[in-house]
Amino acid sequence: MTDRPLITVSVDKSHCQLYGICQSEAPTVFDLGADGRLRYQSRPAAADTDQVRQAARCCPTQAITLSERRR
Amino acid sequence: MSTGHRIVVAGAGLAGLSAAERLREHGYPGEVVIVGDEPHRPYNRTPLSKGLLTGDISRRDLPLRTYTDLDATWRLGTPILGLDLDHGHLLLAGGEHLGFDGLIIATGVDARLLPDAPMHLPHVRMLRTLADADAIDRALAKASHVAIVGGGFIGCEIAATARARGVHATIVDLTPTLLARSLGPALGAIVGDIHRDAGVRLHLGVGVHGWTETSSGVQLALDDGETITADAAVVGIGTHPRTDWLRGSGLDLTDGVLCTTTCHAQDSDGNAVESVVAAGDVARWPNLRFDSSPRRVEHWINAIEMGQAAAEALLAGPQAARQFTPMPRFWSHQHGVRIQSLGMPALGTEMTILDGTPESRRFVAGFTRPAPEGPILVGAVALDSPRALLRHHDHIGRPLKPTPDRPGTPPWPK
Repeated sequence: MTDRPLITVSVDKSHCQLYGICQSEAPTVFDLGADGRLRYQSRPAAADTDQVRQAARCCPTQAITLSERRR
Repeated sequence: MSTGHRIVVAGAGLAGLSAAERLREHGYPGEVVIVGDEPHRPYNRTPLSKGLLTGDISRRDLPLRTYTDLDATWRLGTPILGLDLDHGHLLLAGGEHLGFDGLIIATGVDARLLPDAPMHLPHVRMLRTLADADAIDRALAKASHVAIVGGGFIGCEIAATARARGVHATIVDLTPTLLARSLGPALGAIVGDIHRDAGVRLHLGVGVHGWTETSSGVQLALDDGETITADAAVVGIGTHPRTDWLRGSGLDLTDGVLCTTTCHAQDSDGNAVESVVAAGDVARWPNLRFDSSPRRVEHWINAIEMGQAAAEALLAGPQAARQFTPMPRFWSHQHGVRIQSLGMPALGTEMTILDGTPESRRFVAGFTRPAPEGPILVGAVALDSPRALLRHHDHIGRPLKPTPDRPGTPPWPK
């Protein structure tokens, strides 16, 4: 695979239904808290890019938007 | 396979898109051609029974995203009529031959027809495509009562959508509980209560005996003598794999495209075909995480994961390819309740509650099957408990309660 870009993560809270699929795909970036809220790193490391992309693909409500950012 | 110069993806849905993206992620330099019979690029079908019909999701949200440039040739609105394995080409409508060095079969499923249902009527519909969803949308807009034949996920979600739109809904199913095949009778009964509480009428354990067209809709005569009068009907009684175009190709088409553990298609003699892989709803393969029985898995996330695995397998070849042993996952949303599943609950012979209580309708149920080392957890289903379900993710396929002297070990070959 090619070099991983750095990405910025944003989650549309009006679409997110807290299924937690993102956490099982990218546990270092997404965390479904005991309070029922989703917390996430908006600027994860390049090493997390593949997992975050998979989380975005698998999100049941397609609530995760990714954009590339400069190093 | 890496020397091939053209890979054709048959099917422009989620599995096909995922496969195409994975080819490029792995640096495949050749031509990628994606053939789909619908006029649209790949779109998300999951809101078609839910958010798109309630207005929570707009059409703009439906196209599926990729994160790698596909540099693909799109052949949309193009039905595939046949596969010639000896010459390595597809037969397209109009007589065109489309040659390939590698083929990814991802043509999905069709909704199963109910014999005798008057599908020619504009207000009697099935659901598979965006065009179907639009037709159901128009029918619901004018309806005060929709009859739904089939108590599977499509039927249950359409019923919830109808109630959200203020339309009365009745579900008819031959089995005594909703979602029986996926969740089993005990959970199906709980889901039935949720539907009843939301005002959905259930006629379960009975079949439809006959249909009558009326001036304002349809009448369904049931086997138990009841009659349902409705001004719209949706039939959702299951699917069949779209393999008609593969007839005579030499591939094993018993309930979908039979595949090896690496997603390679198998011919009728049981040999893996090096140049052909299959993915998504159409593919039947043995998931060795559970056992060696080939099965189709019609889950949205499986279409993603199997599309990716099939693309990798095509590039690697049958010898070097990894076995595809995913953790099946699905979700549904009905009357505000989230239903989620992990693993293969249908393989379980016993059910036990792992978290919460059924009465609260927030719980996780575990499904086990017996094994010499103790009951193995083969699946888990959660109602409104996503966080609790995450905790069980790594326990699927292991003894239910590993003890220190008998640690849980995966039963599948590594």
